[in-house]
Amino acid sequence: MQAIVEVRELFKFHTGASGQQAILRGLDLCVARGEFVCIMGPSGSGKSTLLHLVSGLDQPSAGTVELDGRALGSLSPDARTLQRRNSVGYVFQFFNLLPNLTVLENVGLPLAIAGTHPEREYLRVVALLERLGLGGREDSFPHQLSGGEMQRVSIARALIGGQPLLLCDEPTGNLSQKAGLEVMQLLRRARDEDGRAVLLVTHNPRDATFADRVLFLVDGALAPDQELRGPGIAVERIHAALAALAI
Amino acid sequence: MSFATRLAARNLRQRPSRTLFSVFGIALGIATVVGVFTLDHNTVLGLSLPGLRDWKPAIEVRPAAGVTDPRGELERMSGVAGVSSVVQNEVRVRRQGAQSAEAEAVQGRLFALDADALPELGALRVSVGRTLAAPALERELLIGEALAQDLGVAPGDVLLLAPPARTPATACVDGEVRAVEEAPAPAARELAFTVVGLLARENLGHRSQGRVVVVDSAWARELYQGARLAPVFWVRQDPGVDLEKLRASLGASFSYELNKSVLVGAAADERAFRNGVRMAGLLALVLGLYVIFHTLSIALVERVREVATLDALGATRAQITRVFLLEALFIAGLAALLGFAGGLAFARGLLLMGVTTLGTGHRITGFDVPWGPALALTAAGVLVALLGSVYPLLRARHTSSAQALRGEDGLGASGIARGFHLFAALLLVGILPGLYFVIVPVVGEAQGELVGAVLVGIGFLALLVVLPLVVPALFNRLSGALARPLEALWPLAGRLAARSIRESRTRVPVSAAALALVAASFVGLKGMTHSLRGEIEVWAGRAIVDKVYVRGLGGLRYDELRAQFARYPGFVALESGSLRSYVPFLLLGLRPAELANYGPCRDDPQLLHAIESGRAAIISDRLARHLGHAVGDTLRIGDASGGVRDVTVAAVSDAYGYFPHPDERIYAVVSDEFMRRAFCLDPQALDDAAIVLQPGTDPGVVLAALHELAPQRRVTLFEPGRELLRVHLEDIDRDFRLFDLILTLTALLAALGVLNGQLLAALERAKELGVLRALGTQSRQIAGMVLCEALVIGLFGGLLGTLLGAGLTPVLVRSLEGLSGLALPNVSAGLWLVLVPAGSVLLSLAAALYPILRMQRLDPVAAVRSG
Repeated sequence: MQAIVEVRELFKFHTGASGQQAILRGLDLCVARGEFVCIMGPSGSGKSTLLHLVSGLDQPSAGTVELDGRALGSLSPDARTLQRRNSVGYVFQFFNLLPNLTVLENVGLPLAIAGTHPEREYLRVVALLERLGLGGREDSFPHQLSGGEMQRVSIARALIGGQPLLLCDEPTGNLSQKAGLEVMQLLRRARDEDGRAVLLVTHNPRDATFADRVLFLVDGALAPDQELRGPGIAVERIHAALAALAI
Repeated sequence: MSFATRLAARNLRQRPSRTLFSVFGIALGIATVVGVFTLDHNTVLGLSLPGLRDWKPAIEVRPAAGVTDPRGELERMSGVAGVSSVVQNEVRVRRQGAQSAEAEAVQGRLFALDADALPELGALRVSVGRTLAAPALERELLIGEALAQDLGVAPGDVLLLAPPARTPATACVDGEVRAVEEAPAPAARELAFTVVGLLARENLGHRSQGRVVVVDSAWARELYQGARLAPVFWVRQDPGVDLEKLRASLGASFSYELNKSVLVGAAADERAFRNGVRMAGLLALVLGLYVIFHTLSIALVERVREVATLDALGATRAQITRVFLLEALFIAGLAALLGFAGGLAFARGLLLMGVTTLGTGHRITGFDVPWGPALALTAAGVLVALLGSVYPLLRARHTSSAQALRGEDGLGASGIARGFHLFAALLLVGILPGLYFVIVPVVGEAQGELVGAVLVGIGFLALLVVLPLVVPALFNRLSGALARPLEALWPLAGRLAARSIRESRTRVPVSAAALALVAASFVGLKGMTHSLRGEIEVWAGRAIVDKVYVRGLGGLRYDELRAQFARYPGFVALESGSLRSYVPFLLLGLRPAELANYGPCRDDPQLLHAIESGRAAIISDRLARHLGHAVGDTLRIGDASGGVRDVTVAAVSDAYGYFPHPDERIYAVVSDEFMRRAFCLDPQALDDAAIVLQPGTDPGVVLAALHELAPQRRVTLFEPGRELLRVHLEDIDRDFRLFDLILTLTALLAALGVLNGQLLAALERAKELGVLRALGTQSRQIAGMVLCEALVIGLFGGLLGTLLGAGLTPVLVRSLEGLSGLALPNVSAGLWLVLVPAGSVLLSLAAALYPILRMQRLDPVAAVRSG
């Protein structure tokens, strides 16, 4: 199956108060179309940085990133933005909904960015909201929603454009157990029913059980011997892997 | 609707208070500057209009004896834009071919001018036909509309002109009115002139209700053969040259008469006032934009995450730019509309209240909109606002979206704040004043003092705009020191306020700087006003306090009146106000024997003798400063016979000669005998008088004396000098109310800056406030925190501004002195040194009330839940 994401020898350095630090060291990753990959690692291990590099929001210090068949390094900033727009749906830990827009407008935002009038896609947006359990909340503002609802709006926003890849940065990090479970089920459905690829980073073992493949990010690189393959990976296996890696 | 338009519209709607305050800030700044300029335009227009009904040239000059080429000398003089010799006289006009000379002749007014000087002089406009040819080889004339209608003539027709029947000419010769010896009058001869053009009904064409003819000066001599034609010249002033400079140049070889209605606002003190008002307008515009820029910079930090999210969702930089640009365009556009309309309404309102840029109490009817400059000023304000609002976006484009999404300081908040404010300072201190002074030039010549005053003003702006950026740490430390006592007084509120002040990199210094700018302007203005009052008081002490002015004495004789007053205790001397002429300055004749009883003549017999001799004059201090005369200089005085008499300046003193009607401090005093000889004025004739009394004498003795002498007479005016002083001081306060008004508006803008800053701080700190509330902090404690911070901002800004203003006052006073020629004492702003900081604190506290209200409406639960 053709890869949606292909990363080779990826390095990312960060210059801080104590000098240059390597966030990612020679990371290799391949995510197939329609595959659900979860990357686990402790806080500060570079998980979010990896997603930023894969989406083209940030540039690597060295190495290559191919997104949907195009090498991001050779593209101009605007071309990278377009590639991201066409290929990636983003789900953030802190939702990042625009506070001045309603639920309907937030979900329709990617369509508007792409030049489509959201009114024309109104029914599609409403149907999606219904599907995600947000029926009747179209005119609410983000501050009127619960955390779980906000994250579902964020997922709806990521799905509405039909991009082949969902990047999810700790999507359940700010949610309750129940809300988090609902979100993970939605993401799994996106993979199963819509054929989207999902690249999810988390430190929550429960979230990883939804993935087809679980990888572990240690010291800026993926632990080669600890890849777990699913579907339906048991949480005990994940805990064992974490223990083995002393994460 | 595009994505950018939709998002921009939604952002504006969802932040109504921020949108409103931003629009209001820019609009108020624009309204003030448009209002000030429109007011000034209508002031000059309105006060000039009466003079246009019966048009006169700006300056009429007569050459002194010995000037061989007066026109050439005038043309070479700096400040002269046009000059022509002029002869004017009555003339009889009839059509050629009329049956009888008497039956069909009409009376008109003839003006003989140099045809080659007509374009530069600007004295007339031809509505039909052409102007006079130069050189004048043929006899041609221009005719006024009314006269042309009376005679039924058009260009191409021929008219016959003849001088009217002449009465024997008389002249004042050495105090006597005598018939002038001249050759027997020849028979009146008619000369034929061809009508080449009709005069438009304006300027010269409006004189004598349009019954005028204009011919070349060469034909005047032929037409009025045998008549004495004293050489007179009309001069048009070059507006780029100061009037005082021109007067000084003329004074050497010419006597001159100024047409004050044409030269409205051109005198030095008037120019100083008008330029001051214009600078105040610029200050308001700068402060309005300063406040908005500050708001924009803080708002940018708040919206970085929004920018990063849009970037993550695939919005291009162009799309994101469009969102911000549309918001800025809307705010600036709406502000421009409101500001422009508001400015015109402001000016109209002030004019209706009698407030002008030349003081209060002038009634100006009519209202003219200076579309060009007013629109240009509005556009300049909008342009600078747009430039300032686009800059943060340009910086944001280079920030790391990845860092912003992680919640890190991807923008480098302190870096962008500093960079932005330096950019804003460049706009406000460099570009905006440059644009402003192109659109609204300073009044008068760009001489050293004026340029210096303008540069000081801009430097002062720069100091207060740039200082909080260059040394924010210093500002924070100083304001932190002010906040320390509050921590002791109010443990929670004071501590939180102190921490907030310490952590705020630019917000507190910028808010304090805005208040300081206004405070310094107030203190500087009040210091200048006090100095002007001081000048009046010093002058009054020398010139008027011990005098009583009366008017309506017609029929009483000087000796008779003097004898009557001498019977009353406290009487010192009697000054006649009726022996006066304009030469071109006011010249007054006083009896030397009276001058010996007070003032410098009392102690200086030689001075008195010089005045008695008729060869010397005592000039007022203001005359000396304006015309640059000193003791020993020669004054050229044109007398009634057309000659010029030279007198020496023997002293400079205000002790003699001032009269409240006209209220003129530029004058010279000579002996009454001089006035009799030069102008054939009767020293005994009296209508105006000033009675000099001993200090402490009750002015009522004057009325008592007059009543005893002429019980039936009611004087039309009775003004003790002390009462006049009070009126003069009130005039100053009233005239400067315009500045008070402009600075009050500017203070509102500064308060808006404080309000905006507090509001944005509240929204930034929503999470912190939510936590505090969750921990049990009461609303009033949070309100206390905001009030403590506002107190520090107000106190710091007020004290800093007062200090700067006190330092600025001597600079302003010296500039005004140089511009106006007044001798201004150095005085402080007095009680205002306390009132201004107190006012600054109150204003800052008042500005904090709305943010407190908003904070108390924040939902603490929602606040702690936000990411």
